[in-house]
Amino acid sequence: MKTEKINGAEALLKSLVNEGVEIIFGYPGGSIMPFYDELYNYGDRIRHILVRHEQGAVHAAEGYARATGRVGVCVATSGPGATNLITGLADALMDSTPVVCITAQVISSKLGTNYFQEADTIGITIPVTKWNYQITNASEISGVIAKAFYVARSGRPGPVLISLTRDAQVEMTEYRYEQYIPPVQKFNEDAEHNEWLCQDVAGMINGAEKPLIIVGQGVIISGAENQVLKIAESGNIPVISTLMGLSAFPTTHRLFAGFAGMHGNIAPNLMTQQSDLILAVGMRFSDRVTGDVSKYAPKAKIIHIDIDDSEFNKTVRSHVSIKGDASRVLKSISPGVKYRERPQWWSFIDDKRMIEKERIISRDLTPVRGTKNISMAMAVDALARIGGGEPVVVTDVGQNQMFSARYSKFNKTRSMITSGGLGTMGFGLPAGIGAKLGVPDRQVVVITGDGGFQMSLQELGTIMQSGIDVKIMILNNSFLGMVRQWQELFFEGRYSFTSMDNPDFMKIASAYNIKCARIERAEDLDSKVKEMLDCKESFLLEVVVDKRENVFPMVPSGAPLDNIILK
Amino acid sequence: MKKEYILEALIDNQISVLNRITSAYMKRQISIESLKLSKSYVKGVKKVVISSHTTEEVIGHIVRQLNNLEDLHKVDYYLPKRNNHKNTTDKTGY
Repeated sequence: MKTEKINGAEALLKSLVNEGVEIIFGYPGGSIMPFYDELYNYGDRIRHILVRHEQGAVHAAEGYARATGRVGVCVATSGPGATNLITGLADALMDSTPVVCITAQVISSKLGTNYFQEADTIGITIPVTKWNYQITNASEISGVIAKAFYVARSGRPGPVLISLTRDAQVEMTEYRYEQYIPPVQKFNEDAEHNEWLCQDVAGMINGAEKPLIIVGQGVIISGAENQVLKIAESGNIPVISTLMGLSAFPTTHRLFAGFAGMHGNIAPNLMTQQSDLILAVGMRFSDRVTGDVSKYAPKAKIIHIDIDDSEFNKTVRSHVSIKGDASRVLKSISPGVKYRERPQWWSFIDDKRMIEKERIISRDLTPVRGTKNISMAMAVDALARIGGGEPVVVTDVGQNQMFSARYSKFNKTRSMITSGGLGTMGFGLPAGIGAKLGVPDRQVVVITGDGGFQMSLQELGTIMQSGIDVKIMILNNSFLGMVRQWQELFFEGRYSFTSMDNPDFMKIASAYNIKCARIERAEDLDSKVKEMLDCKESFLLEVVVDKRENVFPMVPSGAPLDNIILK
Repeated sequence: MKKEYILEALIDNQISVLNRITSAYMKRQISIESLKLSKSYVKGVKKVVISSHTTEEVIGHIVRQLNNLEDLHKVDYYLPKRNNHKNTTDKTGY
């Protein structure tokens, strides 16, 4: 069969179309120009979002991927374009987010000569990608791009970087789309898990007096939300979530006991220490979840289900580890799970919930220390009440993130998008843009702090140019709040370079032609949050909050989970 | 306890795989005592042999992480003495 010759840039675009890509986030530059020239003709098939910084492109691709489950794609030029992607790649690797980044590279004959805008992109990105590859011949494009998408979304998803030399973009080639066929051994690994072991696990769950299910992001990635719900309901087992697993289980469900870890709810952390059986699904026992590993879950038998077997026994020893897709493994476990009342276990949980309500939540949800000032918890709670658990919450990093995790309500899966593992400030706004483009029918609210917002506020330009409807709520305490909290608690109140003199965010929003409002008093909160959510276009709501507010409860870094600071 | 461990891997003939293997040592601050890259019995597949001093826990984790690499066919570790051979790539062993 004779096929028409096209250039490498068009071959790349055809491959993207064949992979089902509808949106790419990018920023043009010298070496990527042949690609952008072809993209000019592909406007009807691929929507290109022009960001204001490459880091914004990769975070937007992450937000898109996390909101939809599809692979996020971003494009940048060689040299500085590629190096600006590194933070986002590292973030995507930590949080198992499927992203394909395409960067240009200088002409292959000039590689290694310090050519204008040359950087060793492949060398630099090795530690922050799941796979990377440099294309120097246009004939490789079809096969490599197909593999890139397969690698990004298969198994434990992650970022892939493809570097494309300028000559490979202009070289003529016969294009034929080839689907990537993985090696047989890798294919089998994904398909099988131990059926009889799963039946034993069901028996262990039935025999447990204090069982507990921990859900991580793996549940969302594998689409196992209903399986978790089924097991929890059929066995009457409490469910707790990691930060990344939030929204996998409806937060208003009676079996949901809260969010675990350093700033998690009291009940989940104490439950972990008391439980005699933990079913950990799609999570990796990160240090923020376990606290002191040697004292973690001392009484529990741990059953660990994950697609990535290098997570087994890495930090916490498990008694049973099952490698496999969470949804399939849970499907094998669930028929054997039987209903048990376990009144003692549930009264323990209710007791701890009550303590948190009385000692933490009631304090967080009232104006700070006799003033009329708004607390961060009140702002997030207002959004949760008025939004009714429907919006996608995209957070930045720090106190705003922890309050969002603690006080948001989620009815639907893929509703919490946050930078968990890497903790990337500046993630929120661009990720929100990506999320909105992925799920245009859903309300997307970015909750950010004054510090993180200013790390990527140039992306307001992206919102303006692309007409995206993203709601932004800045919790402004004029401090890098989380660092300030640690300075107060662990560094004797020496507030070393954490206070911020901020610009007028209203003027900034107006300059970008974005509707905005600023509130300081608690009585205005509900009406303005409602106004923001009802607005048909982007809206920036600045909530001025108290500087002294801290996130509690808190398990200090390296302490066991039952060592909880309440104030 | 730290001992000498030998890691053996079969990799595709691609530029970044060797780099990914050595970076698994680098990020744990383990210095590589010797490294050999040679042809294998399969065309286009190379054999890497690395010796280093570390604990079994760490080398075991390195092997399990490398097992997930693309373009890597098989990876294994053992003690230099032949009769102490240990196979860790058996996926059903968990």
